[in-house]
Formats: sequence, C-alpha cells, structure tokens
Amino acid sequence: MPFEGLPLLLGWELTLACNLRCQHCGSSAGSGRPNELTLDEALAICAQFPELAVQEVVFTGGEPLMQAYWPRLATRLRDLRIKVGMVTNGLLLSPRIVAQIRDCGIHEVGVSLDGLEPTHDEIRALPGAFQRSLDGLRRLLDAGLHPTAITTVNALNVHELPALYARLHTAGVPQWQVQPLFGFGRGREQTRLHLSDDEYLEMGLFCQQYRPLAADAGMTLVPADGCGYCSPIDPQGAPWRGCSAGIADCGIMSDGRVKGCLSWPDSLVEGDLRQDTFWDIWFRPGAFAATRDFTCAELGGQCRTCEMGAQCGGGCSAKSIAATGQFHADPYCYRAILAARLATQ
Amino acid sequence: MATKPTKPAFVLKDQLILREHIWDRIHWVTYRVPNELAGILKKGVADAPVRVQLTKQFTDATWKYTSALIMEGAAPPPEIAGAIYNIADDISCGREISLKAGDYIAIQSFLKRK
Repeated sequence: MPFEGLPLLLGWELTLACNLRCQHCGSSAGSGRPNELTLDEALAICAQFPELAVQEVVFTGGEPLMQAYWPRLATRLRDLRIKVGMVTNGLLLSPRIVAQIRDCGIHEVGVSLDGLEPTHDEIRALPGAFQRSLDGLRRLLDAGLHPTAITTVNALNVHELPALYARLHTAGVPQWQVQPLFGFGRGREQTRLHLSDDEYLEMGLFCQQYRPLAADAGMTLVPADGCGYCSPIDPQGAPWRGCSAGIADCGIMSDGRVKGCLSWPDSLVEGDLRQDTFWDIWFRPGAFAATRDFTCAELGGQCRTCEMGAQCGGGCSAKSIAATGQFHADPYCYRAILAARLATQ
Repeated sequence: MATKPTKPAFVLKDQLILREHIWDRIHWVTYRVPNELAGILKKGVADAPVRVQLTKQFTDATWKYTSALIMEGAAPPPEIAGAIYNIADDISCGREISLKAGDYIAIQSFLKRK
C-alpha cells in the first residue's frame, strides 16, 4: 500500500544561533549554521505547505527569536491558515517582542525552564537566566497568550520537580511540558546530567502523581517525548503507538535540510529543500523508512522480547538513537524498568 | 443500488480523511504542548478531518476524470483510478464526497508528474 501520511506537524529550526550555551543542548546550538535559509527561501518553502496539508508549524532553534525574519514567516503561515507555535529560552521576551508574537498570530509559546533557579542558571551557565525566563513567561501571560513551561528533566533537576511545580503554579503558568534529556550534542558529553533508571522512573511517577493535582489547580502537566511506554505510569487515554516522525511529523533545519524529527542526528537527513520540493522529499520511495517501514524484526535491545514491541515500535526514535545508536531500542522505558524491578524482588 | 446521475453534484470539501494508523498516535513529536492538533485528532477520525487547501488545478482535474467516468463511462488514468472510482462512488450513491488522504496524494502526485 502506498504511504498515506502527511507532514501535519512541522518543527522548523529557524537558526542554530543561540544566546545561551546550555550544557544539555542536543543541538549544540551557539553559532548559526554556515548557510541558513534566507527570508525568500523560507517563504518559498512555506508556499509548499498547503498542498501537504501542514496544520501546524513550531519554530525552534537555536533560539528562534534570533532569526530576524521570524515575524515575516509567522505572518505568512498565519495567512496560509497554518497554526504557529514557538519554543524559546525566554531571554528575549521583552514587551516589544511579546507584542510582536501576539500580533503575528503565534498561538502558543513554550519557554524552557530546567529546574529551580540555581540549577537552571547552572545548566544555562548564566546567572539570572531563570528569572529572566520567568519574567518572559509572565509577559506572555499578561499579553493574553497561552505559554507553556518546558522542562528537560535530567539528573540535576529530577528531584526538584515538585518544588518547580509549586513555583510554576504560583507564577500562574497554565501548562507544563516535562520531557527527559536526550543525550545528543553537548548533552551527550555531560554524563552527570544523564538520568539513571531510578531517576527516569522518578520523573514518570512524579508526572503520574502530579497530573491530577495540577489539573485540579488549573494547570495542564503533559509528559512529552520520551515518557513511556505502554505501562501503568503512562497518561491515561489512547496508548503509545510508535514514533510519528516521518509519518505525521517532520523537521526542517535552518539550512533547508529535512529530517523526520529535529532531535535526530544530522546524519539522518532525508533531503534538502534547496534541491528538491517538500512533496518529492516526503513521498520519495524509501523515505523515512526507519519509522514508516518498521517491522518487529527491527526491534533491538530489551524491546526485542517485549510483548508490546509491535505496537510500541521500540519507543522514541530520538531517545533510542541517542542511547543505543539505533532505532526501535529505547532503553528508557517505564514498562521495562518496572518489569526488571519485579524480576529482582 | 447506485444510480447514474444526469448531473453529478460535485463539491470537494477542503478536508482529508486520514487512515487510522496515521492519526491514532497520541504521542506526536512534541515540540511544544499541548499539541492542539493531537488534541483534535484524539477525538477520532470522524470528528477530525484534516484541512487542506485544494487548488483549482486539483479540483478541475478531479472533476474532469470523475465526470468522464460517471457520464461517459471513460476509465480514468490507472494511477488515479482508485481515487476517481471512490469519488464517483460517493457521488453516485448520493453521499457527501469524502476525500481520503491516499486518494488526495495519488491525484496530487499524478498532476505533478503530468
């Protein structure tokens, strides 16, 4: 059967330039890529989205606000009736920028907050970074926008999650995205940040315990990529059915190259929008084969013998690659950790 | 039994119907949550068609081959035969046309190759 998916959700790395050098950054962001897209090139790429039924684009980076043309791009996407979101470190969220975000029709903004103040500032290697990001969040709230705090959970901040919840709740943050560290980029070298099995499980149990508490308090707490799979700790609702990168989602790099997910290493590039159309890259026979053509024979590690393997597909592709170098073998898995604990009891 | 209409009603809505294995994934790659799209899709495919902007070229070509099939019995090009038969079937049965994602992709790819 021919492939029938569409890139409904796009992550777009507007630039790799960043005003921070975070220890855990999976993109090793700092300087921009040598040949980043021009405004005209970016607008020409936008024009290809409607025929591919793109529904939503999320600007990422680097720090997307450091790409000068972000307002033009957001406005164009809005005119194309495509929703636009953004993930930022929050440092540049001045009143003027926040007003621009609102006026461009960007409907949701995620701001990274990776622990309580000392931890966040240590990871960011910038004293005062926490307060500046929190101020940015407040400005977004004041402007009537719908901000999300995003926490990348690592060994330094995992024990702070309850206290961070209290801090965010007090600040009036309506949504909180929690996700584990992926060992890419600078994050790969910072082994002191890597989660142990116990710490990974602690994150899951925190989310399980605090989701209903947060909901009662008017905050949505969402475990995001890499929190799973097929276990009692997972959020209630439809079960995990495998990575959607290259099936319903896609990532565009700041130089026009295309990957299934921006968290994947650059070696997994599927095409270049400077050379081919998005349609041709997306529908090229054999494209995104790792996720589209998954079979149980490709399961690796502990996933090979897991009874949920066929449904799960071996977890988050990015986390699997970061930890093992291969797809379909994500070792960070609540189900597997719980099973191992039971076996040793 | 389907009857052959004398004048087919041809209204293509700007919505695609995705196969379940595409939309039934609650965990989309989450750059930022809550993912509004995932929230919509979680409601179920019947309530969650995906909006697409159909071009005049697409609508005209689809109409051309569908009407030729219904009115004259002319077989559509093999690459899009399945899609055109699906649409013609909806029309002949008096149903609202539901444009399946696979059919949309087939027709769009066909037009790009022409």
